[in-house]
Amino acid sequence: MLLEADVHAYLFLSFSLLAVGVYGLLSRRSVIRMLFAIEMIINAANLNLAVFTAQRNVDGEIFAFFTIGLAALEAAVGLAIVIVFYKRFGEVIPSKIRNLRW
Amino acid sequence: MGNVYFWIIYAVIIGSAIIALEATSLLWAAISFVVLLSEIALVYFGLNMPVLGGVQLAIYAGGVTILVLFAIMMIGESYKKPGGKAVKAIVLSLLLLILGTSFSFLSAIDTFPFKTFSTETLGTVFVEKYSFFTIVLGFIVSALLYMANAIITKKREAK
Amino acid sequence: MEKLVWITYLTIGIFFAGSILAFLVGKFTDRWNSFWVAALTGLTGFVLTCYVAFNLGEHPIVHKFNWFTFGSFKVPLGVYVDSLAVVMALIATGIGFLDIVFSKGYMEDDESPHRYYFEKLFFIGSMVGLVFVTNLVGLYIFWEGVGLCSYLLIGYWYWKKSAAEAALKAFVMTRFGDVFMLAGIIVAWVLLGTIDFQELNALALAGAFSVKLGLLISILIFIGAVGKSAQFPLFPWLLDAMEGPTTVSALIHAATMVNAGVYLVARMFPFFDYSHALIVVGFVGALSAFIAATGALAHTEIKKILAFSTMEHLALMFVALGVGSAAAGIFHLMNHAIFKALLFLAAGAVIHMAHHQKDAFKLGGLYKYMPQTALLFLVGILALAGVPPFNGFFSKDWILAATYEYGNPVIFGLTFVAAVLCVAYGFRLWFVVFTGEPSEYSKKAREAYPVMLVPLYVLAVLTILVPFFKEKIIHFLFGEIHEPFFINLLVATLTVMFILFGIVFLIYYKRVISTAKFLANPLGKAINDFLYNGWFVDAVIKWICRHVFYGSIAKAVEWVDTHVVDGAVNGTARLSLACWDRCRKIQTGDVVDYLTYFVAGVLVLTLIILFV
Repeated sequence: MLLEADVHAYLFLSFSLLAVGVYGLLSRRSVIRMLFAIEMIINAANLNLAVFTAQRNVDGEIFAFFTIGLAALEAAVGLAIVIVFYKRFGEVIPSKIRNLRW
Repeated sequence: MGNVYFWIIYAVIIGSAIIALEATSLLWAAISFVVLLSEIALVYFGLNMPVLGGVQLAIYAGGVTILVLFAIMMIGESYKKPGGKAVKAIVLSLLLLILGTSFSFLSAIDTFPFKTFSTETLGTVFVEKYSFFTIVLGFIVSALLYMANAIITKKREAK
Repeated sequence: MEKLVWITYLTIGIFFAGSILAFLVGKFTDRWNSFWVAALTGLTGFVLTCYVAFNLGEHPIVHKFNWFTFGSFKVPLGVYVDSLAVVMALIATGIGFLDIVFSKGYMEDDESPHRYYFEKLFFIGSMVGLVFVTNLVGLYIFWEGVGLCSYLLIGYWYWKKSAAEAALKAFVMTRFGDVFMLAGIIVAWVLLGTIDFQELNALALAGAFSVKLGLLISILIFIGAVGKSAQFPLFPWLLDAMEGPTTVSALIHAATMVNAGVYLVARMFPFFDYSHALIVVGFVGALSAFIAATGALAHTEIKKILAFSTMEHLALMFVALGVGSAAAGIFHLMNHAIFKALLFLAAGAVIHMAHHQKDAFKLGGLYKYMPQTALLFLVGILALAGVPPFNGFFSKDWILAATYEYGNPVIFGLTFVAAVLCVAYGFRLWFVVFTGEPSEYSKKAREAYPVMLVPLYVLAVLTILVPFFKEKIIHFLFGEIHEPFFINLLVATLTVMFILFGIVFLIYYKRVISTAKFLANPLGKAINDFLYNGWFVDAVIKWICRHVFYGSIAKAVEWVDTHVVDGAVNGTARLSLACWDRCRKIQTGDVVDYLTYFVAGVLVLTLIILFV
């Protein structure tokens, strides 16, 4: 079973993932779904890095490591915020919470 | 363009992503999200980057998913249909997709072939070198899926 | 640096230092301690000036330096002390010292003598600086300094509305002249490249610039001098300035500050001469002298009569300068400073002892109660009227002779009338105040204190002594000069003066001719009003200010201010408010909306980067 594809196919994959992520980010009303969407976008970017690293034999892979680390941290902090958010407001729908707008 | 295996993986990734966003149950959405991340790890393996794939599995499919599950546990999962301003979002995301793809074709990105890396070889390596971990991982994943299903059905019944 | 230069700077500086010291001493110890500081400072300054005067040889004391530099633009400053400057400084410091001593008696009821002495010493310092500086910029600084002190001292009793208004009027009216003077200085600096008096005069003597340019600069500077020296048409402030303490009027508005204009013209005499500006000076002077002399004849307040008289004598000095006899003008300046200070201080004594009754016709018969003051006042009147052998006679006669020699009938006629009228209003004032039936105010009066009488005696002795040293003084000031002398003019002057004295004697002493009938006649009353109000120049100025400046220009400027300037400012606020009102609508507070804008922005940016 050979996974054979050229760079355009991989890019199409990563753009599709990005598009789904953006769609989710803009259309979901739950914070957790939005976090999923953000992770999708990050993974799309990571995929690009990996693809070009594989294609050109450059050191883009290392950025993918960093990105994964940062994304994990971001998920941890984000989910902590979600919990505090829920305790504070009793819901996780960001559109309904407009405290910072004066 | 890729071969049929690539497109199968493509379909799985995008499908699980859409399910993760559209599923009514938050728990199923999380599981679908795990599938998405694991498939991406598979792509990394396919690109001859086993370390990156491993890290992806460990951190994303392991750590982040556990965090998400904990968050769902704290909040309590909801079965509401996740609605929103879908039209604007669909238009923007389609625009991004079309734009990105067309530029990937129009731009001067050369298409010289990758070093081919067979997933069969990968499987052999897994079985030969990491069989223990693979087996444990397989048990964990299946247990996870089973428990999730059990919880969801119980909740449904309770309601 | 030369020793004399140091002493010159010290003379200027000691007054400023003394003024601050007097204020601090008066503030933190007993208030009247400031008097001792002031008197000591005044005496030291006078002695230093005398030292400079006696050590001044053939050559003037010159020291110049750059005050500050901005790139290639340099502002010079320095001192230039010649005999003219030193005589002016002697007048300022000498009369200033006597005035400080006199104030001890006059200001006895005052609450804040430290403020008074601070302002007075500051004034004397500025005046000495004004006569010692070497260029127009330095002169302008001290010119504004004396103007400021004049403003502060006129408004010394600031709780009196009339005093505050008089101070404001004096300030604004002199400032009006100063604006033109500043313009003149700038024109001279830009077009002639120098502001040093000696260099300007040297340029004029060499004929290095056109007469028209010189005339422009001269006239602009002369307008400043007119404002300061209270000449037509900028004189009404001098009359109102009499609201201040009489000692202030004696020092500032009779003896020193108002002479600054005359000094300036004398200092730039060759420049004015080359520019043909002297004829203007002469005409303004003659007209002012006539207005002032006739005004003094009709007025009833002691101090305002003296103010008119001051204006007339200043005008006579301008006439002397205008007809080309600077020596006569400066000599008269000196004599006038002495006898007018005497008159004002004596008037101050009278007013103080008569409980601040300034109207001459409400006094009377004061000779019986204060004979010494009356006699000293009489000495002043005789000098003012130009009766030999008092000093006023010599300089005034010289001015008349010089004017006669000049040959312009208008200038000579006006000057002659003004000069001989001195005797009329002078004796009228004396008769009204000191003879006749004592009024209720007069009965309460008593002889002035010794501290007030001593300065008066010093000044009275000076009026008699100065003629003996006339030749020496003139030689010191100007070297050998021609002094015109016409025996027929002298005889005519003295005859007319005697006749006028007779008429005044009959009206105001014997009271055989009554002025009541003249005043009852409407025409007579109109004439009296006309003269009393200084030919209504004040009213005309007010009318012009109100209807021309305020009514049109100020209104137009106000319109521009409210509609254009304020409109722009308010419009900016309204515009930004409107922008904000529209822009705030995209700030929904919904994070999803912001994300939408963000993604759309990323798209747009990508398109721009790729296509542009």
